[in-house]
Amino acid sequence: MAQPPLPSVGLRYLAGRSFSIDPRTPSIFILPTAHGWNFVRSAAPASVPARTAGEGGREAAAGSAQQNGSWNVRKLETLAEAVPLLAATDEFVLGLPVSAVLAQRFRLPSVDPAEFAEMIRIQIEKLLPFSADEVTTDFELIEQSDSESVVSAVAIRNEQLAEIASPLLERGYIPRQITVYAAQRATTHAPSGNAVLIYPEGETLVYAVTENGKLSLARVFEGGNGDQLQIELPQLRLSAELQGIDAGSPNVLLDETCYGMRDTVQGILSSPTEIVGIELPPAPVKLNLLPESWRRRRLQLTRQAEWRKRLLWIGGGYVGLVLLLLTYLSILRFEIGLFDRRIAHDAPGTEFVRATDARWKALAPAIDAHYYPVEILLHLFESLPSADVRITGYNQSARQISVDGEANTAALVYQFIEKVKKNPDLRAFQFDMAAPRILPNDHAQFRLEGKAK
Amino acid sequence: MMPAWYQRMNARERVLSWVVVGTVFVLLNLWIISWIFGALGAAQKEVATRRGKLTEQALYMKERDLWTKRDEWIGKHEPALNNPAEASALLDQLKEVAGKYDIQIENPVIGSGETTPYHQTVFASIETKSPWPPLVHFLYDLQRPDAFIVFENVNLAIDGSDPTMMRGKFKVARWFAPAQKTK
Repeated sequence: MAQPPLPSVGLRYLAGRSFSIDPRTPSIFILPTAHGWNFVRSAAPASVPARTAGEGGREAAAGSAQQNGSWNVRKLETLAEAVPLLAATDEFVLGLPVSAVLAQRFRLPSVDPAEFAEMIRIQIEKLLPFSADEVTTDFELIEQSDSESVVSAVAIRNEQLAEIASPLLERGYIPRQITVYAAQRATTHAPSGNAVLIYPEGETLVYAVTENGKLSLARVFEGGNGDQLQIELPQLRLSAELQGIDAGSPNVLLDETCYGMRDTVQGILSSPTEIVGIELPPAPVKLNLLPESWRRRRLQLTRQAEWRKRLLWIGGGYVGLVLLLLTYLSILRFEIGLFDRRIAHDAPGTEFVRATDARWKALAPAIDAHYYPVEILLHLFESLPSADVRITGYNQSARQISVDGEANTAALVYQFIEKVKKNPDLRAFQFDMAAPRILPNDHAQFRLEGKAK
Repeated sequence: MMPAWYQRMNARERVLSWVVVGTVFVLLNLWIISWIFGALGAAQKEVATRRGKLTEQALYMKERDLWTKRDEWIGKHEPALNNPAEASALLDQLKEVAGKYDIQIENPVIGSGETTPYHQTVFASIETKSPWPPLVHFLYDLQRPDAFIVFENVNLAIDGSDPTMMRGKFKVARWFAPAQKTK
């Protein structure tokens, strides 16, 4: 039978009855089987179409992983064996066996989905001897007319659910979705029309009637051999018809492990029987029996894991930065060491030059003409901007000079100092001048001081 | 997974313990970061200093020939102080040059000057009175690189009583090689 493709996004169902889009498609399914559980994990991004394994994909040996396309199937005897295969951030779906749930078809006198939850809760309370708080329920719409709706409702006692999932819960692994495997199989193999699905779960045989891919009625047979089928199947067919399910000519889907019953089933139900294999992966279903408290806890754990991851990244980045800085510091230290060795290596060669340089500078007033008074006076006179600037006094020690003078205007004084500073032959000195003093006749008196550089 | 001592704490104690641990952690890391950046800053300065020193050394190495020649020149021309009468000889030299340009010398004084690692000094102080042009010639003739004569003090001013004359006070020194030559 043709399988519907997985949507590119998964659906997150919140306990009751509204849902939001989850961008991540689950990549792990834990499903009940005849031998215990199947652990189905995507070996590639989970946006692959749903499909059924061929013959070659049905032979996964217990305890061994089998690669089938992009999905691995691992057979587990108990759910506890799934614990080491999971990681804290894994998104997984837990399929429940039919024996753990109550599946019931209701015909509701309303077409308003907002009213369904309350109506179903009342109906379930009538059927089960537990309060609503002790039970988790969910439903799927099978069909709807102008005045009424037919829904498939599934309920499970919270205590029983906790007992089944206890190996996972003890390690903090909470599924993203808890559904019924029969519903998953129905959606996968018979998304439209009516079908009868027969497959083994543990030591029991499941007989599930589905409508439009939704679970309408399910029964479990202990043992389930040919003789028992002869008795039970007609009765269940009758029960289905009594509930208003058209069981006249259903599409019969028989699990490949029950191949030996094919002729018997065909004989009893008078319908052609199709053999189906394990779903890789099962088609997504809306049905979600995840209790609200689990959902909150899961959200909390997910947030904790995300924060742990973020802190790990931040810590890693910080340590990386510190290591980078320390590496840079080591490089600088190494460079300093390298420079020190080169300086020490070249030092004897430069020591003589340094000493001679110091000696030359010390003797400069005697051997460098730039320090001779006659040279300095010559260049000072060259720097006079006009005859209106007159030098009236000159003092010099070995490394310092001062020039007293007078100019007709202050502007001429500043022209003089500028020219002195720019004179290349006076560069051995650094000149400075205080503000000139203005005389009563408007002449400016100045003192120029120069220090050897 | 939590240790027993942590589980024994109540919520308030846990918050307080986390505050203490967080504060210590933050302070410790601030100290580490501060130390690293301080060390990096110091190391960068040291690198810059050493790089400058290497550049200076490279320049010195490049100019080694020039400095060798200068060293040789100083060694060849720097006079040695062998005669205690060098100061007197210096004064004689001043008088000779001044006489050449009709410069009047007054108040001559001679003596020994300071001794540095690079030179020993004898000096002669004089005062002069002359027109400006002969004074320029006097200054020009007196100083030559190989003469090792230094004007340690010069004071020139126009004569207050005669503006055509210049008054000069000079402390002229002659530098000699130090007793123990610096290498």
